[in-house]
Amino acid sequence: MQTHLQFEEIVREHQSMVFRTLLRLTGDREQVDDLAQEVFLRLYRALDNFRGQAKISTYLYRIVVNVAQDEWKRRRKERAARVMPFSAQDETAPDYMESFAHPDPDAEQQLLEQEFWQTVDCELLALGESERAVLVLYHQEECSYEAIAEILHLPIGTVRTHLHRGRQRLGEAVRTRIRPREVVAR
Amino acid sequence: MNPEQNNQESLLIAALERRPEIAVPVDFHLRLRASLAEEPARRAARRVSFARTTAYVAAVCMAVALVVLTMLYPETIKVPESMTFVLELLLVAQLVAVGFWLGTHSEG
Repeated sequence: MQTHLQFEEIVREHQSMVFRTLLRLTGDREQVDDLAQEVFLRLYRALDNFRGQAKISTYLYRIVVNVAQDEWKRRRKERAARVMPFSAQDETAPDYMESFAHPDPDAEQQLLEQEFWQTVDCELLALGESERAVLVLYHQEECSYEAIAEILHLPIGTVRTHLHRGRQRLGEAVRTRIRPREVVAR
Repeated sequence: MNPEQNNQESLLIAALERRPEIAVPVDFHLRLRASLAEEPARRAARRVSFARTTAYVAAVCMAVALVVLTMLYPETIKVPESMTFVLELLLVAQLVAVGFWLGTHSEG
């Protein structure tokens, strides 16, 4: 009973992080519920073996990354023809559009910004799994190099390399897709 | 890096730092709870550790062997004839202690 209550507390505390990280790593808004459920089920199964040597958030991030990687393997197996970024999928949804609303919107500027974000999200999904995971954990989740190294079981030097290389590749990919004037226009 | 590249770089970082907005479904807890209910009753049934079981069995066998041998050859206990026998007894006692420690040592 104690474990069950403890587990529910963990779910409440970390569910937002799990959802947003999964969304960024997989780019699939439709499936994120199921994936998040899988994350917490894996955590529940592992709670007995959790020795407290790592922070629960680090442990959860590790499960999130594993679940996301399993999802990518599954997609590769299914030979999914094309990757749908979360932002491109839901741009027609009213709540998605509202989430970008600005108090004093310059329509064109807002549109460019939105397009830029979508491009970044889309190109992020085209990166390698490790680079994507490092970029998301470092920039979005604000994890330290040490934490990322622990989550991904990588040496810190490799984490730095993935971060640098990932950012470089992402930048190049985005630049080729976005017209220069649009980016500078901001 | 020229100003344009700098601008692009900072825009890229800002885009990466932006957290996607996603609402956790209201019924997520219920779905999760339902899934947990379907989980096998693994918590009721304690996980059997192979190493721990082996250690218990070895310790018990060792203790039983010691008792049986003592009963079969009581004269050797009363009058230890050599240092070898004493050392053997010490070794057996140590192995029992190791077996007990392994058996009771928490994995967590």
